[in-house]
Amino acid sequence: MTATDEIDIVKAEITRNALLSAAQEMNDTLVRSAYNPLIFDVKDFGLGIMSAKGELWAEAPGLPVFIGVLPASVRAGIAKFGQDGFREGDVLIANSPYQTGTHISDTAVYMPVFYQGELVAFTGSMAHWADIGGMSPGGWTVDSTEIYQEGVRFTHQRLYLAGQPNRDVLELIEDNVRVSRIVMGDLHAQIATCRTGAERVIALCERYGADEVTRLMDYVVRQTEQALRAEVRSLPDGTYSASVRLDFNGVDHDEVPVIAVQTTIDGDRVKVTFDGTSGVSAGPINCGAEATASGVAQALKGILDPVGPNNNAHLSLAEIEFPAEPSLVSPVDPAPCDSYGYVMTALVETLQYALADIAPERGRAGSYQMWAEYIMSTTSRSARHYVMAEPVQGGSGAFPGHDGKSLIFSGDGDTWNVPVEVMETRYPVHCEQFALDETSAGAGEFRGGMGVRRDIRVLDAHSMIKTALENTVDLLSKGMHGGLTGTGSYTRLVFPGGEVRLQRERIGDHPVPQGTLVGIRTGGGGGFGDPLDRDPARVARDVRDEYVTPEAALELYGVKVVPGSLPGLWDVDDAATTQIRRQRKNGSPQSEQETTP
Amino acid sequence: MTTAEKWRLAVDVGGTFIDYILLDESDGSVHVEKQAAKAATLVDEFVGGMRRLPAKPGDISRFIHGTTVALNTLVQERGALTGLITTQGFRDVLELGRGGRAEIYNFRYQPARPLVDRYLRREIPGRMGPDGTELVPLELSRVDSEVDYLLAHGATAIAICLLHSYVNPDHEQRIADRIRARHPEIAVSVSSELVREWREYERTSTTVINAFTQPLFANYARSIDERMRAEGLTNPIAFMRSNGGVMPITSAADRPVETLGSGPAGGVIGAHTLMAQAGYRNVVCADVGGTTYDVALIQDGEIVERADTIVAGRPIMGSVIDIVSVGAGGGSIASIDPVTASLKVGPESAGAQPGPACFGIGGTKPTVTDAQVILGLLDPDRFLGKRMVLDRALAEQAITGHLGTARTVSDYAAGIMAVAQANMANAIRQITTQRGLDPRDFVMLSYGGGGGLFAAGVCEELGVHTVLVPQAAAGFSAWGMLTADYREDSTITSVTDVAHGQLPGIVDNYAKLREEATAALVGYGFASAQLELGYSADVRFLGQEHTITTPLEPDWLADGAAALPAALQQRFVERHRQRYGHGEDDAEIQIVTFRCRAIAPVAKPVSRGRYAEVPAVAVASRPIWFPEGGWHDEVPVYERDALSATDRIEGPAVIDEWTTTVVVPPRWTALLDELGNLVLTFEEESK
Repeated sequence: MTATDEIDIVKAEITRNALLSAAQEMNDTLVRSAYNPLIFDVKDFGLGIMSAKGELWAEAPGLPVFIGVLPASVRAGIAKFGQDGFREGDVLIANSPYQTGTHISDTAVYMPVFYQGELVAFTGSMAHWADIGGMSPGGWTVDSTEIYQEGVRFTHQRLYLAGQPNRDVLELIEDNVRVSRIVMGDLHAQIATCRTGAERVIALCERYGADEVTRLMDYVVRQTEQALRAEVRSLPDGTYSASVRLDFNGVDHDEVPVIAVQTTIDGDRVKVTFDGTSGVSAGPINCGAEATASGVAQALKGILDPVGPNNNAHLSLAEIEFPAEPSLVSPVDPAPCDSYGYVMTALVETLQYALADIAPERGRAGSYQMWAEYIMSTTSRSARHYVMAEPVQGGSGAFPGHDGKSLIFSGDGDTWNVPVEVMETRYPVHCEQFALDETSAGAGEFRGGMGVRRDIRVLDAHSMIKTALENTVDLLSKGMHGGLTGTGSYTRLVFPGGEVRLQRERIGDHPVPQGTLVGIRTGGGGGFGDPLDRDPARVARDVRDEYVTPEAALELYGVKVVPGSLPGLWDVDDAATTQIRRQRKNGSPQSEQETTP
Repeated sequence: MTTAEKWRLAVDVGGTFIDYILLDESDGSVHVEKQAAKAATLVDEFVGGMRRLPAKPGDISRFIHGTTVALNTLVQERGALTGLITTQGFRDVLELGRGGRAEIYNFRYQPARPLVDRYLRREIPGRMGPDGTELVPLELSRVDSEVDYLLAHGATAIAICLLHSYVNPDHEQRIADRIRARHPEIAVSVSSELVREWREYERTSTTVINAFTQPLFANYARSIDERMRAEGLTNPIAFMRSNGGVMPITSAADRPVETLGSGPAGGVIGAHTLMAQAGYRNVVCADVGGTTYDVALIQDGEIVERADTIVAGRPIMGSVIDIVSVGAGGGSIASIDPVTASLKVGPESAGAQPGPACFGIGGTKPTVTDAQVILGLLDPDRFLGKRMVLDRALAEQAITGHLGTARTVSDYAAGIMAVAQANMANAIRQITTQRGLDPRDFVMLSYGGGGGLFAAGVCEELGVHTVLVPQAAAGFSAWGMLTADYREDSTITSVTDVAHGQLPGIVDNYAKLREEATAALVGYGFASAQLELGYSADVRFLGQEHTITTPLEPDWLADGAAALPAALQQRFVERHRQRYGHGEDDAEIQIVTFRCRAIAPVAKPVSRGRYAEVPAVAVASRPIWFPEGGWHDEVPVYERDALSATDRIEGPAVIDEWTTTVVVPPRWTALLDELGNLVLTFEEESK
């Protein structure tokens, strides 16, 4: 390797920016030409440009889940064929969780980029397909016990052979997925995305030469690693442990899967181990090793370098030691993996919470884990086939100076909700409210973000629902430094006869009568700091805005409010508040000791 | 227009200065005036600057006003205490937004705060369905008590946005009528009067921003109008809007949200006019300022627009010129990136204060301007027509102090220019290749204070071989405002399959839109026969979400639009293929949004060239560094005013005028065209 001082830092910057700009162009191509709302609305995809060895050079912001799994998928292809096993114009496909890390619905499509006959890079995207042919329409099977039930598996087959479509494979896909028109439309969008990126990489090679582009990006990645290691060095040495119990694996209520993770900071090194993590689960919550590594990288990036561009240095920073035997975070064929996201999100939240304490400028209290629901009708009896799927935002954790907000869970990045006006036009449903759930937030000097109430009435007969929600015994939305924990997510079903059922466990492909009201209640975020330290004027404004009731102001925050000059306005009874707070603080000296992770 | 009314005036109120551009229509000559301004005394200073102009207000035929008053009100969050009336169950839509985290790895990501606090967001029972049928009747009686509540709490503006009002505005309209009848003094903003497109959060945001900025803006507009009347102005004042058109004061006072993006619009409008006169149909418009580089496109003779934009973290719906802005300009600061250890330029800017190091007014960090001084691209003794002397030694100190001594100062300076130009080129790639267009099929018009310094370099980067620098490039945006037409856009979202059974509905939609758009212009006093109409549709393949705005020929709507399905299909598929590389000929398509644009064209000033009688001779020479060949010792310097019609200046050379410097690198030649533009052309290397 050439010494640093021989690197042209101008060319390095131009190359780095050109690749970022190329990744952005790939993003535009995919978003604007996809057929599937999971891609164009939910942005359930990741894309990037990788070196000839499969190291990440540049990505466009998609789902953080995909931070590392796309380069890992490409490396698995290289391992299969060898670096000289690709031809110009090949396009490959892979989705096997034991190689790609996530679930089978996330399909990687990538292409080798050649310049003057030499392999210089790979461009690719990984996107959640509308269907992958498994037992549950749209994927995210909740009760599979083997991968064979989850859909069609690809292990680096060629969709294009040296520029020519491989019709056998394309037809095989078309014949084995539901809504094949949408799936094939998305597949073509993914192929176009690869080509957009490839053109930009080739243009860059024409400018600087292929070897120089690689040398420059090696330099950028190496420098990034040094900068990240300097950040690590600024953290106190030690081992930071955390664990979380999951509530249900989808098939067996007696199993209590555990994720236990230890992060050791030692000088400029980070080591992550999983001692105490459960073995492979009988249900589909297993998280492929590459997705586990990706979750570790996401948490570290958020703590060390939250807004800088992402490259391979972020992915390779942590030394990860998986359990000796296959496990919940490193399953092997044919373990079911279709709802891996519970483990993945729990891992990211748990890691960030453990590190937030030692990185006071970057972390926050815990957030709700996740939510997504499907409302659909796909049986032969239905008058109209539809699959509506959407993730729903919830409470994000507070941090010093700021209350938490209502945002999509950390695993889902810049995913957006579906506008009610679009939803009601597109699907036979009627949304009756979309509001903040005031009861959900963890109190604190800075309050946790609120979950939401989103009530959707099912208008068509023969519809069924499926939910993916909070899947832990121990809530992830933990408060910090005396802040309280936010509530968990649940479903509130109201049947046409008036019967109400609260469902904290997730629901799989469950038929519901026409007219059922599906009440979505996402969890709140954790608070930061002792609620008794919240500025009383701020509490009075919270009461005015109906974020907090006068009773809760007293009970949780020790603030006595009295009606103000106008209806809806409230004043603080200063004397009473001072007294109440003093009494409470004296009465419960242990209230500040809930902070140790 | 009487013979005395020969003046056309554009006044552009920015953050710190008011710019006046006065055009003498009898000979095309332009007078420029500048006035420092403070927010508190803006109107007085506005009039003060006016009085120094050679034109009497009574002799002004057209008065165009561009202002950032509404934009500043929003960005500084100092608008009216605003109340929101919305559908029962949905008062939190404004706060919930879309739930995304734009910084995906940032655990502390914070969206912009809602402009209306929750206690001022009031719900009214009543509900429309997605097809516009009434599902729950409106409880109009609740409106009075909710409005009384808002007024009691001090609200001076009210926004109304109900679900599905883009299909059926009846409930919104009845609420608005009720409030306007009872409280004529209150500013009321109604979503369906501003935009007729779906997505409730974005529409609510747009309506709330309008309400939030309206009282202050309306007050400002009224004051300007009254003071100008008192000064003797008889013709109406027209306000610049984000779509590149203008609107009369009455509309502007009701719809300030439509002025938010008007700032950089003037230059693009001017480019559209000038390049049409010069005969170019595909143009990259590049505005080079001190802090940002703003680029826009003219494709097939039409300005490329977008249907929504984000200002200060909040979405706004409505047609705007699609302008991409990157943090690259003269003031952009160079540094070694702490993470990647590469040479970064921008987006941080030294601005006017503390300024580039070479200004000697406090700035110590190296900027693009400092690099240009070191490379000889700027003459330290002739900056801004010798109004300012730049300090080369300070520029060098800034570079060695902040970037190091591993390389020579000129190497670093050359690097700063290369990175800045590459960033500019990426912005242009983003708006061209993203649409499936090749930048090499475009010419560039480069304007703004730095327009001539970067033009050729950025073009080389992109493979663009022709670049034009207009006269008075620094003031080109204001000149552009003088060419703006009155324009109304009307739109409606109505998801419609393009099938023969739907044709009556399609024809009907366009008829309604045409009526709306023309009624507004007729209301401003234009005869309907004068108006030019344009139709387009946002089209997608069935099952897709994102659409492509596809223009319709007016004759496709004739005979019950019998020709429309085939013609629209063909044009849409062509555009889809151009942009994405795929698109099936016979896949079903849908129209999502119908659009109609009415224009009342105004006479355009024609730019006139001024030429010296005799061939130009170099007035000086200096050493300048170019990527090709490094230092050139004796690069000739010409005065732009001294160029004759037949001069052909071979690079390397520099052409100076008092507000800008045009650099002609090796292998480029420069000459004046018939309109007075400086045209730079790149010669391919002969093999």
